Amino acid sequence: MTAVGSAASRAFELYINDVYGWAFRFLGHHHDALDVVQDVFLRWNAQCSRALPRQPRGWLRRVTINRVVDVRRKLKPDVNVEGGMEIVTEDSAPGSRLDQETLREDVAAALDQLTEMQRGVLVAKVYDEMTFSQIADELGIGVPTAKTHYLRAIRATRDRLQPRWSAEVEI
Amino acid sequence: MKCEEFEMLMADALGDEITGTDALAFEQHIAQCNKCRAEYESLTRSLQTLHSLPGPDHVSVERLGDRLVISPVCGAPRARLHRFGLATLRYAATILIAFVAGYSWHTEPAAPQVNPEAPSEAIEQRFVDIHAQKPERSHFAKCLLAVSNRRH
Repeated sequence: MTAVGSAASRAFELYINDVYGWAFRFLGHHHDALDVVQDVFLRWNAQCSRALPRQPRGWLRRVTINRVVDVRRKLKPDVNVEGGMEIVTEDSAPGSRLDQETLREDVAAALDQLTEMQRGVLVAKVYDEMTFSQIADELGIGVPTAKTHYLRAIRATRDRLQPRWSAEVEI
Repeated sequence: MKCEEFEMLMADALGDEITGTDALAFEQHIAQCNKCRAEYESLTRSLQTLHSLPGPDHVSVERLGDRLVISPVCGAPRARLHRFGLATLRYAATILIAFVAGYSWHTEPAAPQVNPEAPSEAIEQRFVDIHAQKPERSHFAKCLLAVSNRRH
């Protein structure tokens, strides 16, 4: 196996959980998430043949979230809970599935409005539970900058979700 | 503290990284400033919403020939099973406790089998002990000893 092939397969073993998790969380469907996983690791392979990224996980997170946003843009806003495997949660009644689907749409739309850096910080902090210091180190930015990106990202999400909360109050 | 200075503390608080004097300053400011409090509460709600998107616990990867089969392994059904197990255990424990309590409630305590005609030496010895320990409070023991001595 070549050095590039070896780096690619090692990254797959190490980060498949992360990449699939990021993709699934925002897409909500197994097959959509798998498409993203495949695409991301193909890009990773191509990237490795050029230059090995300094922070593999950060690189994979950034590319995955960008890909998720692209997929979300292309997806029709229909609710197809039958297709593919889905994560069953405590309240997986049809109504709550619809809620989760629309929530995913809203969150993905919020992510779409963010800069790449803000998305990276938000996902790293919220879902990967990294510290600001770790995030700053991974993204090559200062800790205060990481905090600023984080706040802006949450504010953008809040602005996107606020109409949803207002509707809940009215009901 | 000015609201502008509060920004960084809010990032720390929302990132669950606030400690010590910063935490104190944060609490004091939020108690005084309605605007910052409302902002913090709405951002906390956004975070809760983001956390509510479910994801897989981990992914299982199996190799089938030249294909890789990737499937998510989810925590939610296991958690549900765990909760079901706990509920069953709790239910079983409640029934057991109720059964034991009911049984002991309805069962009369067994009366000690004492033959007044032939008190055992152990009982006599117990009376002697009681008498030796508290002579002023053991009249009943004295009487029994007297009866016993007369019989012997």
